[in-house]
Amino acid sequence: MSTTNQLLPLELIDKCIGSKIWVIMKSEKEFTGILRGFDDYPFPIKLQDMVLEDVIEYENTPEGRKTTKLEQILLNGNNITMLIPGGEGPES
Amino acid sequence: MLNLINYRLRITLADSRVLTGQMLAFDKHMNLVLADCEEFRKIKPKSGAKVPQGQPEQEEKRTLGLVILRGETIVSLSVEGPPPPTTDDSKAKLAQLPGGPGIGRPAGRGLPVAPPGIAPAGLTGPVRGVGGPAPGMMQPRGPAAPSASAAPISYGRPPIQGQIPPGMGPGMARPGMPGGPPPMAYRPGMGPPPGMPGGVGLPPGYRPQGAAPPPGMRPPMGMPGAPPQYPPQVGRGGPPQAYPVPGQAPPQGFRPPPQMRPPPGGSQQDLKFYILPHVKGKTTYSTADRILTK
Repeated sequence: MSTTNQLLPLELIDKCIGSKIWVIMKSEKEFTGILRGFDDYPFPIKLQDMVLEDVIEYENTPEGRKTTKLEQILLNGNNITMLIPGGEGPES
Repeated sequence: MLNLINYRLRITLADSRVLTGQMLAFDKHMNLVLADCEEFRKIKPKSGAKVPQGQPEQEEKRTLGLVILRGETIVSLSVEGPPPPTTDDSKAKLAQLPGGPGIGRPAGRGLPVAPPGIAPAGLTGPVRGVGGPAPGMMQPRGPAAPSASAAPISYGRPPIQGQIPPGMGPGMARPGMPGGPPPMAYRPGMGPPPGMPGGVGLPPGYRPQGAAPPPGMRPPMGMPGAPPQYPPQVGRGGPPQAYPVPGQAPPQGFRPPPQMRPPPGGSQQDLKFYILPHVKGKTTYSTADRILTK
């Protein structure tokens, strides 16, 4: 319960830079890719935008899952719900 | 929120997803770090669309693991269960995170690790000779050590205040005058000088009535705390009106020290004696002071 070994969420994101991350959006979209960076703008003003590389975009539709490969994206932070460090995506 | 840390929580999100996981951390935005996270969501078939897996409403469960959850999307939190008995599991999962460029390693507070049995630097106490006597000086010694085992030696200290020998006036022993009262010759204006007829054999401080100090003698100015006159000796058998007799002029050549001068307008005819308790240093003794009153 001590705060010394407690990692704040943003610190955990910072540790993920350079490694694979799974981003789940508010909508039915998900992304996996290597996190290159994010802006640490103060939260109430702007959510963290992210730069991802070697991205696979997954879109869940009632018809099935649609995947798209993208080389590099700037992801608007406004629509992010969850970040999963090291996540391989919904297909793993 | 701090009470809920390490608890397993059920979190409803804005898009009606439900997450369960053990909350490891949170921040001011209510972003959460959840361990062993599982996601439950209802897949609603669109009207007119082909229903996958043949069921109209299907609850999909996914295991996500360690999750950073944006606080913005959280609708509600509820406790699903108490913290697991061993929190080491969650710590181990945190340690299994893929490492980024940053490096975390256990570290102390700048103190090098000392071998067991030896206090680390900074905890050993003061350096020898600093802040106290050397350790050898404080240790008891046996009879083989002659230097420290000698009997205490008396160095002829002056009598301690408050242990005045009987019969001596309370004002006689004073600091800075070792060995009791000084010889009578040192006491100006009090007793007859040695060799004076009638002075020999008289107890110190006793002044026969009418005896005057040698003319021109003056009380010294630099004797701190020493009253210029000897107090009237209580219990010595001396005449109470020894010196000076109230109403009698001070002897010729006597001049009171500056702190004893009569106030302006005071008359020397009204000299009186009072015995007042005084506190000097740690010792309390009474001395006679001449209070000049109108």
